[in-house]
Amino acid sequence: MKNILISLFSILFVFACSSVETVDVQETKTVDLTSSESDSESSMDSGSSMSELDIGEPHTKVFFDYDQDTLREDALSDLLAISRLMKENVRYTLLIEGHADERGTREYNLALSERRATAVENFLVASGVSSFNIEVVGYGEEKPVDVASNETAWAKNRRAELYFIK
Amino acid sequence: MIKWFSAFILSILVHALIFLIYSFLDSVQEETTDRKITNVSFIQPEKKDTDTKKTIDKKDTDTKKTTTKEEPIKEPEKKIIKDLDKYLVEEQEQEVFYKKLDKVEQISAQVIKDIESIWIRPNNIKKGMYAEFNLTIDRLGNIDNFDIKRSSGSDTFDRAAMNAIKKYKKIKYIKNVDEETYRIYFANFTLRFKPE
Amino acid sequence: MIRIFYLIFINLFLNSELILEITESANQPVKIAVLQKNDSSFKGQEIVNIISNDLKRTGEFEVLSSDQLLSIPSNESEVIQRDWLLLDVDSIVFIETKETNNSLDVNYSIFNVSYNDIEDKRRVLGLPDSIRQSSHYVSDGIYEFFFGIKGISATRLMYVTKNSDIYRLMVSDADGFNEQILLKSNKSIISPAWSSDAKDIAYVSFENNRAQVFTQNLESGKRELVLGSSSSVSSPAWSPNKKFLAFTSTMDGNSEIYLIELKTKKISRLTENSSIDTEPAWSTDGRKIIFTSDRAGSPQIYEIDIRTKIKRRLTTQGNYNARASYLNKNEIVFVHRGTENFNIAKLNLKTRDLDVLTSTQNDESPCIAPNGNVIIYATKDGSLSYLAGVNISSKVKFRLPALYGELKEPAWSPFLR
Repeated sequence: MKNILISLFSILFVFACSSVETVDVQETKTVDLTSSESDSESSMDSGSSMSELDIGEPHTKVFFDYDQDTLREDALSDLLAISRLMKENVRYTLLIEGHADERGTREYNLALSERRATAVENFLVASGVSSFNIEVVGYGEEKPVDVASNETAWAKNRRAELYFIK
Repeated sequence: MIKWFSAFILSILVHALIFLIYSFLDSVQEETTDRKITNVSFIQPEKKDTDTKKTIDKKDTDTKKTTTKEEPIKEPEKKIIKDLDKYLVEEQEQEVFYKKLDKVEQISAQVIKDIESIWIRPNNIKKGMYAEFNLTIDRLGNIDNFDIKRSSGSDTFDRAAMNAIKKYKKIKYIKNVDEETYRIYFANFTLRFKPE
Repeated sequence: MIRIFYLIFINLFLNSELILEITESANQPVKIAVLQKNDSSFKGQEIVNIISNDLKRTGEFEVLSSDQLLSIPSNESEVIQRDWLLLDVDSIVFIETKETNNSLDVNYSIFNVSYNDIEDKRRVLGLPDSIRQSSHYVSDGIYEFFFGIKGISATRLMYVTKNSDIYRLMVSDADGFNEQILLKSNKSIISPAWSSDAKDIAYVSFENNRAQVFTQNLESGKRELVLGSSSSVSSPAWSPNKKFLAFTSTMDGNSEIYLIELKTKKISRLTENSSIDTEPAWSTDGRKIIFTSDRAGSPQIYEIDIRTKIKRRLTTQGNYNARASYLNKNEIVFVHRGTENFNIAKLNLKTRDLDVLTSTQNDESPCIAPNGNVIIYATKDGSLSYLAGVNISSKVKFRLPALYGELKEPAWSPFLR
């Protein structure tokens, strides 16, 4: 009887005295999009014809000033040529990719690059090209042509690339 | 007899005057030091507001000296000689008094600086939070005892403050101070931890 | 007679009580030693090492190594106080490890050198192979004991690495160990975000050649496309109650901020103007969102009340302020450009004090630890990108170990305990 009481008390004592923490275990799973079978992800994507595109080099590049999305004068002749081409070939689709240099935050640069691409689109539409034939996408700072951190590299990266697809 | 009596009244008046001028000047002037945190606070039992922090200003000493100097000049000739003696004695005592206060301020500033270098402040500090402790010091400066007068509300904060006091162990400057100053100011005093 | 009266008078006058007020601290680190108690097993030593490194990494502890000690006690009763007082040590932590077939039991005590007595005793219980995690729990317990706020050793970091055109979304322990791959892709991954229970994440993937937001469950790996659109969808941010995702999309012509209710897929729009509105971040009570907008000409931080839709501008200094998040109720942290350099800054919304926290040049992606006391960010040293950090209370700056290498977009997990 005494023994039972003692062990009871000691158990209570142990529980009362120590502040115990139990360690949580975290499991994680890897998703690999680079292996060929896992293209089920692209089937989730209903709005684009651009998956698995290999579009090569851009037909034209248009450059922008730092923090700017307004078209520069040196771009106008190129864009007018594009505009003529598009109006002559109604079945062409133009893809405009906007880019930004690495300075500043990623998401703001993504938005800025989209605005640059949209600026090109707006110019072309204003010149008579149908917006149905134009697709616009922004890549922010994710696809630089020059990874160096200097003015030359940055100037090269602040661009919109125009591709003819189809 | 009358002379003695009037001298006595005069002496009282002079002391009262000193006291009033001192308290007036004290509430008006506040010494600004380079360090943000010299805080030596004297609680006057006569004063209702016990938490005003005042620092002793050397300027007070000078103005008081000039004030006291003026008084005797108004007196009739015979009294000047006697008063001059008393005046010199009083002046000397005052000088000693202010020297002692100076010393008290010096030691206080040093103690604050020492404790600041040991105090490890926790990171969960809320605005206005503070803790107060009563310290008992022996004649050599050893911190005999301390107990908590006012908790900050946070165990961690109280503990960090007590650790600093415990680690400090001894105020070595106390042994250079005379008995009276020790007894009046340092035998028992309050330490307040109040982060800005 | 006069003298006595004078003395009495002066004594009354002098019956004053001294109050000394301590208002600052020198921000000295806590000086401690971490020792094994009684046993000296290999596992026990590894645990001691992990804890020592965790505490050192906070910048708020100075952990003495055994060769710096004058004597090494194997338990509390063997402590020779004088040897520790000489070294100015504050506390000794004794770690006792007990291993059984199905548990790892770590008991630790914090011994105060000045008092020459134990101040606290705690226990962490885990599985036999959870050495690192158990050690991190102990480190956090020790940190909380001294500093009153939770430690962050037992948290995780999520980040993106790029290696020869392969992008990987990774997660690791806060100390860089236990790296695991969450997503491997040929295309860019950006803006990873943790949900408040750390069970799900959201991120932007360019796998379909444009910005799209996916959520992914960490345990099952199950992914879900949040919004199918031919426009870009990016900048995901989970609401604190996990019911909503705030995001940016150009589906209405230009970058605007929207909310999607995850259960019903119902979308509501928060911003409506021709400027760029992006980078939403929630307040902890879920009532407000701060975001970046260039409606005033350059990117600045704004705050919107979700219910009333009333917006107000928060930043006034600098010509570029972006990627803000709440540090606490009154302070925000964001990328700030005063004139030329991008730094991480902190703004107190009440006092309007702006505190620039970093002094390097191209700082971005500030990421706040869940205890609100540490910020890490991505920066560059020449062409080398690395992660650096700053401890807000001690102001100590540090660089994350090289095992992170070239990595971007750090995201700190919430507390996992």
